[in-house]
This record gives sequence, structure tokens and C-alpha cells, in this order.
Amino acid sequence: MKGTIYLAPFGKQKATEFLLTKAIESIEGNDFSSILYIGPTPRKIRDAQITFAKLVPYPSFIPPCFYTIKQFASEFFQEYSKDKRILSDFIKPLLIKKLSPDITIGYAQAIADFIREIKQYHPDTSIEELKKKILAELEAKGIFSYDEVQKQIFSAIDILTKYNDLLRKNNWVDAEDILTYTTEIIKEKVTIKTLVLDGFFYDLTRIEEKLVCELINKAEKVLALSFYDSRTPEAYALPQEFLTFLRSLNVLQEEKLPDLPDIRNDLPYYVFSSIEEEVEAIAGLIKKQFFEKKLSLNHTIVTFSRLRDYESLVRRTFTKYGIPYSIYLTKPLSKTQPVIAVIELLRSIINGYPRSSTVAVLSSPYFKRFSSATKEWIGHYSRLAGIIKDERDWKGFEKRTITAIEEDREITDCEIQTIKQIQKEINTFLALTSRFKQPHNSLTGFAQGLKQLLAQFEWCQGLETENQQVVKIKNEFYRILDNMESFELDFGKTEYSEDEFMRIFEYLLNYHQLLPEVEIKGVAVLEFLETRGLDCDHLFFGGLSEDKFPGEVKYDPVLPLWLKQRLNLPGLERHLARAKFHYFRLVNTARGETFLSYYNTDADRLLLPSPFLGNDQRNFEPFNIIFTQEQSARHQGAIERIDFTKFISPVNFSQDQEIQKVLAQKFGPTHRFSVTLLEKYPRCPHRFYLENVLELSNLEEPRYEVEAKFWGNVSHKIMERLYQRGIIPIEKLEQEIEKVVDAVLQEENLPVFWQEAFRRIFNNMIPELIKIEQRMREQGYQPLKIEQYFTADLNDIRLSARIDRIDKRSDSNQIRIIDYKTGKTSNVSAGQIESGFHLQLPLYAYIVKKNRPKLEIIDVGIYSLADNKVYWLISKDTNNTESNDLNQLIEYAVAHAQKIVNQIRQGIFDLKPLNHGDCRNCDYLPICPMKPDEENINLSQETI
Amino acid sequence: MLKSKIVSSPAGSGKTQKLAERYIELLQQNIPPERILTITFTEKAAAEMKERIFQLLREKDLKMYQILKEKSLSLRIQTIDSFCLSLLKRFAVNIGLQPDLEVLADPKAIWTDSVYDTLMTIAEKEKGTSDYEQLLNSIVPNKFRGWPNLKKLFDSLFEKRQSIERGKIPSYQYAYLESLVSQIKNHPITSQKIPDFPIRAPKEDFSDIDDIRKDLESIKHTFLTQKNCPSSDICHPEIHEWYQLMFQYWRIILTVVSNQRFSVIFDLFIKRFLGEYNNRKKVLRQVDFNDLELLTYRVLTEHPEWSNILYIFDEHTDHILVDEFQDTSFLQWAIITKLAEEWLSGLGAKRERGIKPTIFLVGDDKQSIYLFRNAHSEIFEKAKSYLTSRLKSDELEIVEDTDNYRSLSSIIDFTNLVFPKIMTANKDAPPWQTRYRHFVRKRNNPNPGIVQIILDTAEGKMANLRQIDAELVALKILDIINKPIVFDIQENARPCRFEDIAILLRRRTHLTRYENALRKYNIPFVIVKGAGFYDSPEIAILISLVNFLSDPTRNYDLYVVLKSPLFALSEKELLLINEDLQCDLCVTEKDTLFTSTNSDLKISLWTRFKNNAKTSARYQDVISKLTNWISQIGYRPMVEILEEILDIQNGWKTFWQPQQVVNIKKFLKIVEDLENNGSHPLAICDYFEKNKDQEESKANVNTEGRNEVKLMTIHSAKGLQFPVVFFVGLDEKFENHRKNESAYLLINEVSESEVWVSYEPDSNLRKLSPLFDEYKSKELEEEKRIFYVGVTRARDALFLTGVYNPKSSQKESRLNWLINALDIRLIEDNKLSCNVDNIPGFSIISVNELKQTIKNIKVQLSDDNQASQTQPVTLLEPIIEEPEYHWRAVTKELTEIESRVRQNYGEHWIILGDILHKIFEKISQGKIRYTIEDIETEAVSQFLIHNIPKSNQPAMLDEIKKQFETILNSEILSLIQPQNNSYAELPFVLKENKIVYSGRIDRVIIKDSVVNIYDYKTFPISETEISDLIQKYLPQLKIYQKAVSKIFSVSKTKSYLVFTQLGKIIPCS
Ligand code: SF4
Repeated sequence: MKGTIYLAPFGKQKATEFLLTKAIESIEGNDFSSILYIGPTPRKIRDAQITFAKLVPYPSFIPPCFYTIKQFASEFFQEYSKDKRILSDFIKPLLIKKLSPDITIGYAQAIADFIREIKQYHPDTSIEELKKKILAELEAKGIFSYDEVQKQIFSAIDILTKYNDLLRKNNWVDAEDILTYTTEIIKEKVTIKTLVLDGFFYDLTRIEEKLVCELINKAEKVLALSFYDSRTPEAYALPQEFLTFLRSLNVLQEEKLPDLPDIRNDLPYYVFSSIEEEVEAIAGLIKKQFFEKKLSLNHTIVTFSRLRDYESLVRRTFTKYGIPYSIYLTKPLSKTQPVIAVIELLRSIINGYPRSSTVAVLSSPYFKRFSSATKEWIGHYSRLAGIIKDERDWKGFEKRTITAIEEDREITDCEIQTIKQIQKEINTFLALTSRFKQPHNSLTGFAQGLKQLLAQFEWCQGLETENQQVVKIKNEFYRILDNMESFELDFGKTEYSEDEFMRIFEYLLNYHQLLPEVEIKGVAVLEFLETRGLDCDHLFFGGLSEDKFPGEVKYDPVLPLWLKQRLNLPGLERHLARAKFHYFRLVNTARGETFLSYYNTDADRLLLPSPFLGNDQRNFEPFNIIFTQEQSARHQGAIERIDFTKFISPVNFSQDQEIQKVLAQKFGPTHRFSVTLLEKYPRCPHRFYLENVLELSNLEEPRYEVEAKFWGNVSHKIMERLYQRGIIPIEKLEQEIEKVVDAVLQEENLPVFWQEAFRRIFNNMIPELIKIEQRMREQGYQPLKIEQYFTADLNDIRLSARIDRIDKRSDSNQIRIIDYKTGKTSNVSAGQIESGFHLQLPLYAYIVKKNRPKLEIIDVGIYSLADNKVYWLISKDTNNTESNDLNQLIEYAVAHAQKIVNQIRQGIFDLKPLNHGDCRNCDYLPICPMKPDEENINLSQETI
Repeated sequence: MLKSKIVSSPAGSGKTQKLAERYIELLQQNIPPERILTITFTEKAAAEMKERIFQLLREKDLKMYQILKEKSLSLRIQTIDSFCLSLLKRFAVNIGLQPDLEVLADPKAIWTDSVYDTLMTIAEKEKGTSDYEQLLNSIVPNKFRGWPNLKKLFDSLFEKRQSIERGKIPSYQYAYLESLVSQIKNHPITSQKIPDFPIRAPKEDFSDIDDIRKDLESIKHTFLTQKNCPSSDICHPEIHEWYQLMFQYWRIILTVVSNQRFSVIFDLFIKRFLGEYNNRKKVLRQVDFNDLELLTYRVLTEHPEWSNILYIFDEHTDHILVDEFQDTSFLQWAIITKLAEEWLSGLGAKRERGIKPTIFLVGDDKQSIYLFRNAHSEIFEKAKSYLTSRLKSDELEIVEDTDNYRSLSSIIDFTNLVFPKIMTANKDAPPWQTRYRHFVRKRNNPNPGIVQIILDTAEGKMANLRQIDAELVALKILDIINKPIVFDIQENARPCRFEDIAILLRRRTHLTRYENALRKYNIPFVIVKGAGFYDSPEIAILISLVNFLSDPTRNYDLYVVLKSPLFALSEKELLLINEDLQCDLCVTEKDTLFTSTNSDLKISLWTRFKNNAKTSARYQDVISKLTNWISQIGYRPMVEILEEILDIQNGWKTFWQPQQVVNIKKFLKIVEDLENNGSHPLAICDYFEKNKDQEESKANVNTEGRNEVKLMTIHSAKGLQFPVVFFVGLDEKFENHRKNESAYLLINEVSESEVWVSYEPDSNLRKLSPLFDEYKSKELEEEKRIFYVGVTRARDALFLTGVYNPKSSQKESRLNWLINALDIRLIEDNKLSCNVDNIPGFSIISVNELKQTIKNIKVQLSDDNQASQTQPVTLLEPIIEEPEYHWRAVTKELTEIESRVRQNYGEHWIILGDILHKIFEKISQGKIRYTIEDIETEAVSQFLIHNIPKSNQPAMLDEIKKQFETILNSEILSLIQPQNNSYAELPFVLKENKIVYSGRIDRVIIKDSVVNIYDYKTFPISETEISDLIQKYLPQLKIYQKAVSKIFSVSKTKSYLVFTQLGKIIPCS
């Protein structure tokens, strides 16, 4: 006999220590290099290395070789292979797509999985045998027609054949070939003195079994560990299988280690209503027990059924609680910050430079090429400039930005310089990326182009020294690009569209996992399967809900599950068996605190407990302990009953002279109060304060549509232009309007489509316009002044207004004032003026009166271009006989204006929106002290 | 033998139990659970159903329970949507989708983009085409609001695309119009009333319809009233008839015109805008939520082998159970019947195999309250007739259940009294009208319970009325609290607690009024599924924080941040900072940002604020903190920064209230998820910008064990029951709450494949449209059912409240229904009377009466939900525990040097280093010889292993050759060659204190009891760097020395750095 299989019971602790001690005993001296240790996971390997160091009686020694099976094979392969390239797993789908170009990359991945499984579990089955077997199974299932599915499976098998041929022809190997190859070379090249099989990798594939078998053959001495416990056979399907395999070799004897007293299979478990509560309970327990000296971090494992869902939350929470930890979890390359920047760059290029991606690139800290000014200002300016996408927009960045600023305020030279500089960088960006932009290219072409582009953009430069992770990411990223190149070199190039390339590339980046550093400090936070083979005293096992644990088997679009089972491929049964074994082993190994939990509410879903949990469900008794700053602050807040609303009180400076001074300066006698501005105050003083005193407002994301405001401007311009050169006879009006419309639209440089739309809208209006003009002429009025800017003092207030039009009777001093509007309009009532809702028309009258005292104002009106109608203030078109007294109305308005300005100057900005409905669409609502009814919040019917 | 079954199961009759029992019945017939498909209305209901089944099973059959539980995930108890998704996954490959199919998370973003790009394409590239013209034509009539309106309409169509994609615009039967026209022409009155008017039918293609409409305008006064109704003249039947005919004619013309206009828009939408969106989805090979049912339906109708494929994948269904059947849409029903079709038709393979499939539908048509999601209450009738026509009489059982196990007698009697008078449909009524069936009380408790109608009288605006109503509710709660009106499981009376009470609202509109009233009287409450997550101040502040940190030029966001309790600058300070007039825009004229580092553009609040740093130490502190956080963006997860800010800036102290805490946690989780999914900071801002106008419900506060009144809508109370129910707002009118574009749009589903879409922006015309009219009646029917659902939630006590305005015109409302049904009247002393006298436990009172009864009540409210009584222990200090061992890998190259090499010489130098080391190792081990041939061969195989692209290989090979030459002529050669007592790549482990060092030493040669250690440096360096490098590598070499001295038990060790590029060996120790 070559050695021993040690049969350990459930809950056996320190099994590895036991094995390694035996191994050390088998060697004389401090050179252990002839020991080969095989363990289940990289994490376990590191653990075993430390255990070994602990056990060895020498301060320094030559260590054994510690490997997982995969590591061992790959190490070996690299040493002995001469002329073969390795096909990384992430490239496989590309090769498969090559063999079957019409399938999606996702399906290619499924076929890759299929190929892997067949190669793993049927290394010696020929294709013909395989097909026969499948056919037989399908027939046994007994359905009338199975054409489509059978075709699908057979085509996958055909791809497998072609795939193998192609690899062989080009001298490439995949991970399975490496295992086979290694098994071959072990025969001649290896001598092993002591082989330690730390038996936690129970579900060996057939191809792995062959390798292990060969290792045992070559070893002088074998120390193997297997689990068996007669008391719970159902949890032991997997080790049983392993044991059977070892026994079948007939070279090992068995030694049974003593049973442990009890089996734990109905432990209590806890339910939480949110993931946060669950993690906080775990953190709290760890901390509490640590300080009660009941727990040591070094012997504590925290594990989750799906660590990825918990990872960042655990990081945050443990940090807050002050618990040292190490998380061992891989991360897809695509989710790392530097690569996100590259993906965004590609999106920007491929989608035609949309604002958000492009700004993300230009302001990304990962592209050193762009100056800090660009990084800081590009977001702001590009919004201001209304850039949406396309090269054309970006090329006009400088002009558009400057125009936009100038509309609002003065611009300094320095700012212009800055904008010009940013434009330069944008141009560089466009020039360099346009070279990359090619509708069709091979992967090699894309890869090389991308490499070049990244070099030009100085991707990640200057960041390496600070950040080890960045270096690693960069290496891996380039490795993918290199891989794509060498792949095409041997297998030929394929042309892809940009979109396809993007999808493939993202797929690769997603698939490719970044391995974490194995670092052991504090509590070990591990994905469930990473706990394989590890021991602990204290165990916290979270996320034990049905959907996550044991969770679903990976969905297989190629083979039905029952068929997989018939073919001895891993399916549901194995999935369950694996989860069950590792779960029971882990739970039984931990002898201290063993805390099982899950959270049961996820948005609107209710989650049920994992079927492995027993019947002892408990609710968690909250701690009466404050563990974190956050809790302490919350507690403090609750005791002090801090009322948030006091931070958002209405603004009132009526007692503050300092501010009044500032306001008096800002809104002093020389400040021009435009009438439109004054009207904003009563609509909502608070909003007035924010928008017109503080002058805060957010720039909206630019949209491709011509806004109402713009229509207004153009219409005004047209009407202004129309009468600029004097009065036009009615019969010429139509012709003249058309001319002016054309001219104005030309100037405005609108996209052709909108020009056309506007022209038609206006043309449709012409007959009505002419009617209105005619009517006015009939009434004896003719335009006198067009678009005139007036100011007038009202005590110490300087009012200002741009009056669209004044019409005068040719035979008297009587005039009418007209204001054009494109938006919604209606009649203005005296009541509205009296209550201060409407100021504009009477104030216009006031201002004109002040400026032209000799003229007699008969009426003021709104000329609605939307309704093709003039709404007069005094002489209403309706049969309403009661007419208003203009002077009285002016008086009302003036009094209101005075009051408003006084309030502004005194700093009173009350919360009195004229119309509560406005709050509904007010951007300031959430931080406004106004707490309106929920009717004011946008709700659609679906919310009930 | 199991029969198919349709069970009408009213509220409180134990629907879930029946379904669970049926499920178990099936299992007991040895039907594999994979063959049973159970459809529930929500995911939550699915989970609850599963729980119930397991619970029952554990009682009935422990063995089966254990087997089944392990496979619980494969039980097919799911919503129809998740069933569809799994089915589509199965067919993904067949219909060209990704097999790892997922539902698009953000279809709106793709939609917005599609609209933009389509508009751009048409506008800029398709001038002169018909689409271009159509688009213009759709915009121009609405003038300056043309495009915004159109866009809104598109958005509403998009929202309803599941129906729209099956939709058609109704077209008028030309023949009918023709006959109408001839009837009018021949009518004697025509020549009398409109002698010169040419009545005509439009051309067959309706191309002249608009002209006809215009002509009709001029004479419409001859047959229409001012209000656009047909004039009437009862005395002259002939004239009367003519009015009617003309009205018909006119209305049809208008509808046709309107349909014609809409069909242009509709085509444009389907073909171009939605088309573009669908194309994009296709490129992604994904689906959106709206596709699930439609695609499934299509697969089931179009894929000839669907049932075989399901069979072969073991995913076929023999038994179907549907819960809440009344909420099933026609399309969903079509899917269900498709699944069952094969055996329902009697021809299927299943019968031949001896399998007897069944279908089991359970629900209550009176509880159908999802019309707006296309659930039609008549589905029950439809299902009945469908199944009766296909199944033999001994195969189908139709059960009308009337048992009620939930409520006490007063509630049942009240319901039985009132609802027959509200749900008045007889058997000739259209199927969508609801019929009432009497309940039978089954609950074993003789106590009658309470039903009380409480009304105040007032008039005024709705908001004020609700205020009054709310007040009344609060008072009544104070009245009943602690009184023994509720019953425990043993049916013993016990004092009423707050948590027993639910206040049910029709919609959230006036929620705040009720909140305020409860607050006023210190009644603890919780809002179940509160809306307005993004409108909560704490969330608005955090969004501003995210925005500002990602883009510091955002002034408003900075204002919010500074003003918020996080930084708590006063309004005055902010105003002064903002008005900071002395700051110039630049330091000097010539400076630009690029030449001067400290001159920012002072145009943003942020730069103005920074400029103010001098004025106050507090500002200085805020500025430096913010600057620091800004600089971390992009490197550090945003969520960490936010938490740090909340921690440091006292955020938690301010937002301590449970709802705020969970909201913030929810927000942080959203940010975290976005980041984990690869969003960069600006994309996170975009996300919130896009979503903040969407409704998003507030985070759930854990209500477990909290003694609080629950406030919720009737819809969210569906399927629940409460000891005490307040049905409030009886007097609320049934307004149409749908907004503009969606109210103009009417989707009328007649069956899964017949969907009519009408659009009518003109409210007058809408009134004339029978379609719109019918829909309104359907909505009214729904209000009845909603009333029913609300009332039947109550177990022990039901209070109905509202405000009664005796003067108001009697518009339809629930109060009105009650007034009519119960003959409610206001009598003297402001008291109320009604005609109910035979229901024990029933009463009707006015507010005055209520106030009198509670005058003397003083409620002592224990504050047991707030901070707990015992002072908590504080345990803030972090844990410090040393690991047993530190594992230190001694790597070959120091990070710092590696990155220098990388920067100076390029990426491939690092790999080249590895390759050279490998070559040297193999030479030392005698595996290859030191000849150029051997080395080249080895290099090439190393290139392969490292996957070095061809393009890089020549340069690397050159470098290897160069080093080969250099070494050949140097002392290094003898060192590399194989020799006795030497090691290459010697692994070692060294234990020192608690540190375990591990590593490999390039070359060890033992000579004259001295161990010589050599470390290869293969990268290029200059002579001048050597001494610096030695310093840097010294610690590493020291460890090597220590390790080997112990391994070989020698005292003397020497170490060397070997610079292969220079051909030099430099002693270091
Ligand atoms: S929410 Fe209402 S009160 Fe507050 S600023 Fe806006 S409009 Fe004014």
C-alpha cells in the first residue's frame, strides 16, 4: 500500500493540520520540495501554506509545492510545452462564433460551456458514441418529433468536433487539453515523494480524476483525506463518490478518525427585513462578542451564498463598525474604474459622441491627456452650449458656449481663452478618435487601434505608483487585446461592425475576472464555495434564502437537464449535492457562534428561507448597543428630537440690516426692474429669491427640440421686422410677412426641418394675422413704435419694459399698447390686477404714460399668436358691457409694484405661491419649506 | 378524477387556502410538481402561496414535504411575467435572443435616444420623403406646441406599447355611411332645413373628408344645440329623426377625420419611432418588460414545435392554477389557453399518454380593480364560456362560493345590504358590469362587530374637505383606542391597538392631510408604500451632493448642499458669498486657466465660495473637506464618500427618523448598485436626473412589532385584512385622474388580438364618442369594485367617513351611493338618520355626536416606538486583533521600479523580464544550453505561453539576443551555467516573529561554505542608477540572506545584484 485515506467525520477540525503533520514527518531535514500538496481553492492553498509554516519546526526551509489541480496543470504545462498557445477561456466564444457565425455571443458562450463539460466528463467518448447515446436517450423519452432540439444538440457537437480540429491544427490548447497534456507528461517527468490530497475537491471531473490517478501512481507516499459520516449519508453523496474513486485505485489503505459527538442540522436561523439589517446584525454580533472575549477574528468566517450582492455593503458596514476583514472575491474587469473609462470612450466613439459619454471621457481622471481645466469645465460648458451629440456639435463648442454665456452676462478674455483651449482639446479628441472609427474592422484592427488611442490619451498614466490595482487592471486589459490579436493571427481575421465589436469586447471584459490578492487579516469574508476546506470556530452565514441558496442551476440552452444527468454531466442533482455537503460540513466545523440568516424583502418580493435551513426560525432581538458613529448620531438626534424642517425655513431678512444693505445695493434705485421680473415675485417669492436673488438654476440636459422660448423669440423678431420700415399697406402684408419670415429664419440658423415647420406654422397664421391687422386699421390705428425699450421711475424704483408695439390713431393722440405672446393666453380681468396677479399690462401703460405724457392711452392688449387674437384689457371683444377704468387699474398695479419692490429690498421672501399647483412642477419642492398636498407631486395612476 | 374548476371566491372566503389545497391534491395524485404551473398576481403572493403550500404539506405529508422543499426553487409558482420570461429564455435561441436573456433595466433611456435619433434622421436626412411630410403635418397644426405635444403622445403610446403593438385604429364601415347619406338625402326634412347644402358621402378613400367636415361646420347649428348635442323636437317625430340622423352623420365624419389624423401619427410612431426602439432592442438581443407577454403569445401561436420543445426540456405543463383570476388580461388569458389548447381540443398527445390535464381558476370578479392595467372583470364570463364549450360536463366544475370567514356579522350584513344596490347589473347588462352575490357569515363569533358611518357637513374645496375628514378619522381613532372592540385568534375581545387599524385611501392625493391630522393628535402611524422617494428632502440633498461632487460647477446643487444640515450655512452667509462682488474673474488679464494654477474662473458658486475661504475658518474647513472629496471622485466608490460625509457632517443626527434612515439607505444602495454595474459618476447623476420625476416609492420601514396605524391605498391593501378599517373620503368624486395625453388616448381591448386605439384631444368630441363614453362607465364600475374591496378588508370593525354637503348637486360619489341605498338624511341637531334598523352593530353618526362621546377622553400615548427606555451601551472603538501570522510574498520587482520600467520602456519589458528569468533558470538547470539556438527556441515557446502578439516579438527577441551577447562576454556567464551546489529559482519560507516571508531566489551558489545569492535585474538601467537601486533592493536581499543562512545552516552569505543588460555583477552586502 502506498499510503492512507483518512476518513474524517463531519465537523472534524484541523484536518489539514493533521495531514501536513504527517507529511512533515515523512521528510528529513528542511527541504520539503518533494512534497506536493493539492488543495481545492487558491484561498485554501494560502491557508495551507501558513499552516505548514506554523507546523515546521525550522525557522527557514524550502517549502513544498502547493497547488490546486488547475494551478498544477498550468504550471506544469508552461514548464514543458514547447510550441503551443493557450486559448484563454474568455476567447473561446470567439472561436465558436467563428465556427458558427450566426449565433449570438451569449449562445457561443453556452456552447463553450457545453464543449468544456463534454471534454471534462467524456474525455474518452468518441463523437459517434456520444451522438448515439444522445439519440438513444431522446428516443427513450418518447416524443413524436424532436427535430429542432436534436438538431440543436448535434450542431453543438459538430462545433465541438470542428473546434478540436481547429485547435489541433493551429497548435493551440484549451484548459481541458492542458489537463490531458499534463497527465501525459507526469508519467515521464515527475517524481513525488509525498503527495498530500487535501480532499475537499470532491466533485472531480473525469479528466481531473485521471490526473490525480497519475499523481498517485507517481508518488512514493500518499496522504489523502476524505469525509464520511455514517450518521448523515444524504449529505455525503460527493465525498462518497471521491472515496469510491480512491478505493478503486486499490493502492491505499483506510483509517477512520474518531466520530464527533453531535450533528448540527437544525440550527436556529434569523430573518431580517432588509439586506442592510442583516449585515448590521452580523457586524454587531461580531463586535459584541469580540469585546466580550467570546470570539477571535482570526478564527471567524463570514460567508454569503452570493457574496457579490453583499460585498460592498459588507465593506462599508464592517469599516463603520471597526471590524478588520479581508474579502476574497473576483471582479469582472469591466466593472473596474479604469476600464469603465475605456468603455465609455468606446461608447462615445461608436454612438457618435453623445454628450454624457464624451464628457465622461474628457473629464475622467484616467485620461491624463486632457487638462484639468477641461476636466473641470467640460460638463458645465457643454450643457450651456446645448451639445447633444455628433461631431458637428462638438466642433461648434467654442462658438456655442461663448454665445450662450454672452446671452446671460459679460464674458472675460480669460474665459474665452479657456474655452478656446478646451475646444482645441476637443478637436484633438475628435481627430484621434476618428482615426479609430471604422465601420468594419477585424479584432486585430480594433485592438491595435485601441492600444494606440489609449497611449495617446495617456490612459492610467501617472497612477501606477499609487495604485497597485491599476497596474494589474492595465496588464489584464492589455492581455485581452493581445489575446485577440494572437487569436486572429492563427485563426484568421473576421470583420465586425463597431456595434458587434463593442458587444464582443464588453462580453470579454465582463467574463474576464480580476483575481484578488490573497490577503489574510481580520475576519475572512468569503463566497460560500471559497470556504471549501477551511476551518473556523465562528461562522456567520448570510443570504440563506431559497433563491440564492442552493439557488438555481446555471441555465443550459443546449442540453435539457434530464439529458445532462443521463450523460453524467453536472446538473441539478450535483448542484444540490455540492451545496449540501459543503454547507453541512461548514456548519458542523464551526463550534463557536454559528449564525445563520437571510433577508426576506427585496423590493416587492418576499424571499423564503433556504430549504437547507431547519424549522427553528427566529426574529433577531435588536441590540441595545451603539456600535458606530452613525448609530450614535442617530440616537443623539432621536433624543434631541431634531426636526429637519428647521433647516429649511422661509427666507426672511426683514430684521437683518446688513443683508438689506446688500439687497438695497443690488435692487437699488438704479436697478432696472423689468415688469416680467416683478411678476415673478408674487407668483412665488421664495422661488424669486432662489432664481433672481441668488440666481441659481440648474442647466437642463440639452434636448433636440426647438423650445417654446425660441419660437417666441423668432415670432417677436418677425413682428418687429415687419413694421420696421414703416407701415405696410394691408394688401402687401401677406407678401411682406412671407419675406420677413424667410429672412429671420435664415438668420436664426435653424435646422432645415424646424425652419420648414416654423414657416408652415406662420404661413397658416397669415390670413388671421391680416384679419387682425385689418381690423385694427379699420379702428383707425397704425403701428407707431415697434420693440421699444422704456424705463420709467416709480418713486425710487426704476421700472423697465420692452414694449412690443404701440399703435396710434392717425387722427388723434390716442394709442394702444400691444404685447405679443406665443404661449397660453387668456383675458386679463380687473380682479387679477387688483389682487396683484397680473401687473404687466397696466405697468406697460404706466411706463408709456410716463415717457409720452402727451399721448392718451386707450387700451393695452395681448396679441396672442397662438390663438390669433388680441385680448384687450379695456375694450373686451365680448359683449361684456362693463368696462374697466385704465387709470384705476394702473393705480392698483403701481401700488403692487411698489409693495413688491419694498419686500424684495427688505428681504422678505415668503412662502406664498400664488398657485399651489405650481409647486408640483417646481424644482425646489424637495428642499422648499412648503409642504404641499401630495396632489402636487407628480403621480400617475399606476402609483395607487 | 380531478376536474377543471372555476371558483368564484369572494373576499374573506379563503382563496389562498383553496388554491393551496388544490395544489396538494394534485401532488397527492403523484403529479410531479414541475408539471404544475401556478400563476399569482404578484411575486409576493407567489412566495406566500409557496409558504402556505409547504405549511399544509408539512401537516399532511412530511415525507413529500421534505422532498419538495429541497427542490422548492423549481416549483413553478410565479407571476405570469416571470413565467413568460422563463419560457422566452427557453426559446431565446429559436427566436434570436440572447440565451442569458434579461429584461432591460432602463428601456426609457433607449426610447429617449431612439426618439431623438429618429427625429434627427427624418429631419436632416429625409427631406422630401413622405415621413418627413407626415412628421411636419403632425407638428404644424398644434403650432408652437406641436412637437412637445407629439412627443408626449408618443411617450404615452410607448408606455402602452404592449397594447399598441397589437392595436388598430377603428375604420368606419363605408357602406353604413353611404346608406346614412342616402337616408338623409331622401329625408323630406333635408330640403326644408338645408336646401342648398349638398349632403354627400366622402370618396371611398376618405380623401375629401376634411372638406366635408368644413362644410358641415357651417350648417351644424341646424341640427345641433349649443352644447353639440342633437336638437330635439319630440312633437315632430320626423324632424326629431332628422336631427338624429344629421347628428350621426356629423359625428361619424368628425370621428373619421380625427382617426385619419391620428392614423398618420400612429403609423409614424409604429414604423419609425417605436420601430427604431425595437431595432435597438433587437441589436442588444434583449427584451423589455412589455415584450414578455406579447412575445410569449407569439411563440405559442407561431412556433410550430413549441410544445415539443417544452416537453423535451421537461418544462411542459399539465395543470394550470390561476390565483386572482379577475386581474388577468385578455392577452394573459390567451397565453394560458394556448398552453392548455392542445389537450382542451381533445386531440393532444397528452390524452393519448393518459394524462388528464386540468385548469383551476380562482378569483372574484368584484375585486377586479386593475382596469388601467388591462384587467377586465368580464374575464370570468369569458373563461366560463371558453371552458364549458371545450370540456365535457364531468370535466368541469363551476363553483360559486359565498362563505366568509373573515368578518363579523355587521360587516357582512352591511355589505349584503348596500352592494346589491350599488352593483345593480342584471343578467342582460354588458359583461363588464359587476353583479353582486350575497355573503354567508362563517366566522364563529356571535359578536356583531361594528359598522359605523361618520359624516361631517361642510362645503368647500376638496383639500379642505379632506382636512375635515382627516380630523374626524383622528378623533374616531382616539375614541376606539384601548376599547375592547377587536378579537384575538380565540375570538376573545381585546383592547384595540394602533397597529390594528388601517386607513384606506382611494389615492394618495390628499395623504398629507391625513398625516397632519394624525400627527396633531399624536397618533403614531406609518405609510405603507409611501410615494415620493425622490421628493423627500434627505434624498434631494443627497442627489445634490452627488451632482456637485461629480461636477462642481453646479451652483444650485452646491447651494442645497451648503444649506443642508450637512454644512448648515445660513441663508445669510450664502447670500453674502453669492454676492461676493469683489472677486474678479481672473487674476490678471493674460492669465488663463492653463497658465495660472490658482486662478479659477470665478463664475461658479463653488469658486466664489473658495474665494471666501479667507473670511472664515469655518469656510476654510468646509472648502478643504469638499475639495478633498471632489478629488476622490472616480477613484473611490461614491457610496463610501457619501457615507463618510453623512458621518462626519452630522447627517445621521439630522435624519434620525426611521423613514429617513431607510430612505437614505435605499439611496446609498441605488448608488452602490449603479457603481457595481459600471456607472461612472456622471452616469449616476444622469440616472437621478432621469428618474427623479418618476414615481419611486419610499423605502419600506419595518413595521414588525411597531404599534402604528397603517395608512395605505386600497390597491395596496388588496389581499390583506385588518381588525379595524377606516374607509375614508366617501365624498370624493370620481374624477378622471389620467393626465392629458393619456386621457386622450383610449385603448380598448376586445380580445388578445383585437385592440382598438382611439385618440381624441378634443374634449367635446370625446364626449360624443361612444367608445370614450363606454370606457368611462367601465371606470365607474371599477369604482364600485374598489369600494367593495375596501369594505371587505375589515374583520371586526369598519368605519366609513366623509363630508356631507346637503346642498351640493348630487354628483356621483361613494357617499352618494350610500345616501341613496340607505336613505341617509340630515335631521334636526345636525343628526343623521337612515333606513337601516335590522343590522346589529350598525350606526350612523355625525361629527357632533362623535365629539360629544369623546369629550372626556384624554389619551395617554406611550411613545413606545421611539428611543428605547434603557440607555444603550456605547461601543464605538474599533477592533484591533493581530493575525496569527502575516504572509509576505517577497516579489522580484518592487512596484515602484516596475512601474518606472513600464513607463520608460513600455509594457512588454515586464513580461520580457519574466521570460529572461525563465531562460536563465533553464540554463542553470541544464535544461537548455547557452547557445543562441537553444535560447531562441526557448524564447519563442515562452512568447507563445505568454501570448505575445507577433508584432512585439521581433523587438523582444532582439533584446534577448543582445543580452545573450552581453552575458557571453561577461562574468555573468559562469554564474548562470549549471554547477554543483547551486540552485536556480530556489523557493524559501522564512519565519520571523509573526511574519512569514516566502519567495524565490534567482540563483544560489554555495562555494567554500559561503552562500552566494544572485538576483537578476534584466531591465535597462544606466550606471548612475546602480547605487540607488542597491539601496532599494537591500531589504529584500537581506531576507534572502537570512533565509538561506538558516536553510543551509551557514553563517556566511553574500548577495549580488546581476544587471544582465550591463553585464555586471554588483556585490551588495
Ligand atoms: S415649491 Fe412652491 S413654494 Fe416652494 S419655491 Fe416652488 S413654487 Fe415656491
